[in-house]
Amino acid sequence: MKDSPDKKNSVNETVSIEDKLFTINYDHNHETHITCIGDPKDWEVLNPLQWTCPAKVYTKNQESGSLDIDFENCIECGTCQILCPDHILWVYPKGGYGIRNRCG
Amino acid sequence: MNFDVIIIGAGAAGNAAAITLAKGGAKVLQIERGKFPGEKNLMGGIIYSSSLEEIVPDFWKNAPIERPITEQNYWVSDKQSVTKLGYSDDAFKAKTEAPAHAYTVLRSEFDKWMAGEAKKHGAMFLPATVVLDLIVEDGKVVGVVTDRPNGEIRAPLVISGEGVNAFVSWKRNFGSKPKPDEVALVVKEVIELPEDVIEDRFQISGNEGASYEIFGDITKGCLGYAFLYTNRKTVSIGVGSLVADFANNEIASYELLEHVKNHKSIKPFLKGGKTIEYAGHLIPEGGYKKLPTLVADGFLMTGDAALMVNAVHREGSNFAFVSGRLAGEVALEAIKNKDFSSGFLNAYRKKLEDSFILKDLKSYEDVFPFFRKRRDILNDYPQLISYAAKSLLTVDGTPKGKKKKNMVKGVLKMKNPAQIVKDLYNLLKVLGK
Repeated sequence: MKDSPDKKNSVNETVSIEDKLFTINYDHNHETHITCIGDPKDWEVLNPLQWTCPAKVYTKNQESGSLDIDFENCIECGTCQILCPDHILWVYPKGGYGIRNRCG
Repeated sequence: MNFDVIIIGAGAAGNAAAITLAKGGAKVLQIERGKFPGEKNLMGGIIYSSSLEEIVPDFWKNAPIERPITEQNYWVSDKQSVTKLGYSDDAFKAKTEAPAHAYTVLRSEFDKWMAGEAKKHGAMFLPATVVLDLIVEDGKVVGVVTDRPNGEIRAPLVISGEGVNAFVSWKRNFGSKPKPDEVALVVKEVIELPEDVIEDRFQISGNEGASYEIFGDITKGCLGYAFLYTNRKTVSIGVGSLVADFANNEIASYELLEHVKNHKSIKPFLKGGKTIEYAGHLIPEGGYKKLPTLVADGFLMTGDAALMVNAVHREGSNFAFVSGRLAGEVALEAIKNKDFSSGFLNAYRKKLEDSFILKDLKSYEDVFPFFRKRRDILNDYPQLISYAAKSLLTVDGTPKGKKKKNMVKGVLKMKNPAQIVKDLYNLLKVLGK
């Protein structure tokens, strides 16, 4: 154990989601397991994904106005397909890939 | 190779079923999407010894458990105040040759151990494999389709321990995808601290541990609570609420978790700690009214896939262990009798009805809808509690008699007395079933 913890994820300051995701082990096969099956500009429905997904997978592309899906951030909770079942098709990554919790 | 049973998933329910079946001499195949059992799994995480002892006697001698939970704390937070209630009891401690009442665990190590127990008794384990569908012939489940090449595997009985995202079951209309207000999202961090620092800060010894559940203002109006549990050399801190509440209140779960970690009563516990893992998971909270088909021809559902959770009492692992074990016991009988019809397998439902599982789910069936409808209760009443405590505990020269009168007057001004009586009545009614 380290005597002085890394400052980055120390709880003495507010930790960003990017820093949180940095603590997760992933095994990527670079094949997406998330597909937008609805209108990727239907922001009335898609908007809450931007803050409700706990891994910030979903953002609005400011240039195209379409949904960007950063599937490699995904922590495999399934919130997106519960929230937007008609727009997001989320399946498990191929067997053996994706997150690998060390603690759980 | 021929199997008697295929079990989907190596979580708490799947492992309980696998151990029960393998011990009984059945030919079991357990399929898990992770490379190792446990690496996809997450919970707060407390297990209750009674439910596990029935599956692995003396588990506590070998299992990777973290700390006994010997002290339970419930806090109600308001904007600038916290009302604290705690219960510590030596009866919760481990005795010579008897486990403690409950333990914290970290699922990655724990599930690996538990799946290992099934393997020890002869269960076959197929990792890194996603089950995509069931094979259904003449209305009977007769196997599974996996994401492996030529991925069909057959068995006369399939047990689903798929977890909260029960895609395979949903695909065949054994249950359905929950709505955003029927499922909670929990985010959690495991924070590393030296063992002696944990014991000093939480005022516990080496064979003790504490749990904290914090309600009220801390969830910023979302229906749910924050938690803090002691592990051996880490603490687990998290917060959960309905997916619908995060969405509608425009609150990011990870930001709410930062709010929790920086709360004045929690921050001192975590000072200097290092987050070693962030994670998130869903909890099915649909309850009794939304229970899926638990039994079909050649098919049984267990654990989270079957919505077996009592969120009010943070119970889920015990529901998973017991439902997995009961499914395993019924499956052994089915194998012996070569009868996998829903009529025979219905003994599983009967066993669930006779156990605390369906009894508790039934008696809490109105509690979840009550709180979902009355989110204000978890906002307004913490304010009342804190106001009452403040009025009584502030020393400012006001005589005590007048103080009590002022307190009652103040409380009644904050909430219509008829409403308080009505709320209390309704709450007792749904809780007292």
